[in-house]
Amino acid sequence: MSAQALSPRVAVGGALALAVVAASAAGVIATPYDPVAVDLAARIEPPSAAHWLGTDQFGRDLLSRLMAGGHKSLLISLAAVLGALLAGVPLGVVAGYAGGWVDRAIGTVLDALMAFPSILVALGIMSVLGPSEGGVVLALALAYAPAVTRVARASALSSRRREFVDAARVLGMPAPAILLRHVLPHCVAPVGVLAASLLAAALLTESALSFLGVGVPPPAPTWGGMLAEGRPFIGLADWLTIFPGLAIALTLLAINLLGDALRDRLDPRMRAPR
Amino acid sequence: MIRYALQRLVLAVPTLLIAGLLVFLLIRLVPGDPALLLVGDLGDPAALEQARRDLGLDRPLPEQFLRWLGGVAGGDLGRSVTTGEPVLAMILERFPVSAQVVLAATLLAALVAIPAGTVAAWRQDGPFDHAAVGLAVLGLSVPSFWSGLLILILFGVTLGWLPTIGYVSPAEDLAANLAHIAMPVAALALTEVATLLRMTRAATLEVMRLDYVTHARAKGLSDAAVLSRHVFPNAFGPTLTVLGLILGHLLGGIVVLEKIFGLPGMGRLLVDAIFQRDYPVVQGCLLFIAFVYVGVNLLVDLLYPLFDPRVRP
Repeated sequence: MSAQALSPRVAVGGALALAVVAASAAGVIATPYDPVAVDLAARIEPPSAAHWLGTDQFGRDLLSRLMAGGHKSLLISLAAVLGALLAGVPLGVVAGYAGGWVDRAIGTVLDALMAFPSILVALGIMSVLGPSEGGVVLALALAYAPAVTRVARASALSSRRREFVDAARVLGMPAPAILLRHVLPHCVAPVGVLAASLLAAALLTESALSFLGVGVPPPAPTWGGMLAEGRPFIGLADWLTIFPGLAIALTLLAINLLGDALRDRLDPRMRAPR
Repeated sequence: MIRYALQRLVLAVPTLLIAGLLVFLLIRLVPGDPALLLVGDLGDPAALEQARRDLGLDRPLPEQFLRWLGGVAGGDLGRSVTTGEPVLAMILERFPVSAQVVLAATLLAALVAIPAGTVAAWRQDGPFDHAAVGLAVLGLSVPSFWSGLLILILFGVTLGWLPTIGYVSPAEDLAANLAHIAMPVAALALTEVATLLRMTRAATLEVMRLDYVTHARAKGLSDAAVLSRHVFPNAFGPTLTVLGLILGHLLGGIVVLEKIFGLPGMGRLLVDAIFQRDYPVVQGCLLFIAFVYVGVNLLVDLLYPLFDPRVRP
C-alpha cells in the first residue's frame, strides 16, 4: 500500500475511533437521559428532537443506552485482550526460547485449544460461570490466549537462532535477562498486530454473547443486548436494530482500519513490491 | 502420500484427546455437585447417591475421565438432563441444518471471493483493487448477526420476499428449504467473503512477486495464461487453508444466526442447553464441533498436496 493510500485510512479510522471513545467516555459522565430509566409514556418512539435515536419498548432513550453501553463493551474488550496478552506472551516466549519438551507440551495443549472456535470456548466458559462482566473478560481472554501464545512462540523461535542471542548466552547472560532484553522486544510487532485484530474479535464476540443473553446481564445496556431486545420489534421499530448494530460496525471499522495500517507499517512483507 | 496422510491422522489424535479432556474438565469446574447437574434437580438424596454411583462420580477423576472417554469413543455422549434423549442423537438430528447453511455460505463466499481476490491482486492499486479492499474492510466490520437482522428487515419484512422465521427440511420441500436458509446464508457469506478475499489477494500478491511469474510474463504469455497456469495454482494452497480455518468463524456465526432466524440447528441446541444448564448437551455439542473442526482442517491438510506439489512427500 502506498503512502498516499495509507493516510485516508488512518484519518477515517482515527476519526471514528475518537468519536466512539469520546461518546463512550461522555456516557460514563452524563447521558441525555438515564439509560435504565423506564418511561412508559414514551415507549417505542421513532427518532425525534427529544429522543435523537428513538426509544425502546420501555421508553428508554436509545442514544443514552448506546453511550452507556459503549464504554462497557470497549473496556471489556480491552481487558480481555490485555488478559490474553498477559497469559499468552510469557507462555509463548518461554516455549519458543526453551524448545524441547516444554515447547512440545505447550504446543500440544495449544493445538487442542485451537480445535475450538473461539466463540465456542467463550460460550463453554460462560455456561459454567453464568452471565457476568468479569466472566466475559475471563472467557474472552482464555479464548484468545492460544493465538497470542502461538504468535509469541513463533517470534521467540526465530530470534532464538539469531547471533545476538548466541552472543548474550556466550557472555553468560542469564536466560530471564536474555528473554527480557533480546527475545521479548522482537515479539512486540507481530503480537501488536495480532492484538489489534483480537480487539475487533473480542468486541464482536462480546456483542454476540450479550446478544445470546449469556454475556453482560441486563438491565445494564450493551450493544449486543440492545440488538437482541430489538429483534421482536423488527418491522415495527427498526431503529432498535439499526443503531446498536451501526455502533458495533463503526467501532469495528475503526479498529480494523487502524489495525491494517499498523500491520502494513510493521510487516514489510505486506507492502507493495514497487 | 499414504504415509503423509497417516502422519496427519496420528497428529490429530493428541489434539482430540486433550480437547476431550478440556470438555470433560469444564463441567467439573461448575460450582456445585456434578451429579446434581448431570441428573437434574432431584429432591431425593438416595436417588442422588444412586446417580452418583451410576455416573461413577465416587471414583477418582482420572478413572472417571477414562470411563467417559470410553463412552465417547463408542458414540455415547450421555443423556440430556431435560429430555432424557441421548445427546448424540439430538446432535445428529440438528447438525445437518447447521451444516447445510455453513456449506452453502462457504461455497457462496468462495465463488465470489477467490476470483475477486485474484483479480484485485492482479490489478493491484487499480480501481477494482481499491473497491475490493475497501468493501472487504467494511464487510469485516459488519457482524453477521447485524447483517442478518438488516437482511431480515429488507427482504423478510419490508419486501416480504422470504419467510422470516422457521425451517423446512430439503427432503420435504427443497424450494421452501432454500427460501428459509437464503437469508442466514447471505449474512454468513458476507463476512466470509471479506476474510477470504483479503487472504486470496495476499496469497496472489505473494506469488506474483516470484521470479517465475516475471519470467512467464517476459516470455510473452497472456495475462490470462500467467494467471491460470502460474499464479492461481500456487496461490490456491494458502487460500484453501484459510477456508478450513474460516469454518471456525462460521460455526461461531451460525450460533447467533440460528437464534435470529429460528433455525433448529446445533447452535440453537447449544445455546438452549446453556440456558437450561443441560451440561451433558453442552459437553456433547462442544466436543462434536471440535471434532468437525479438526476433521475439516485435517481434510484440508490432506487435500493440500493435491494442489501444491511442493509439499508432496
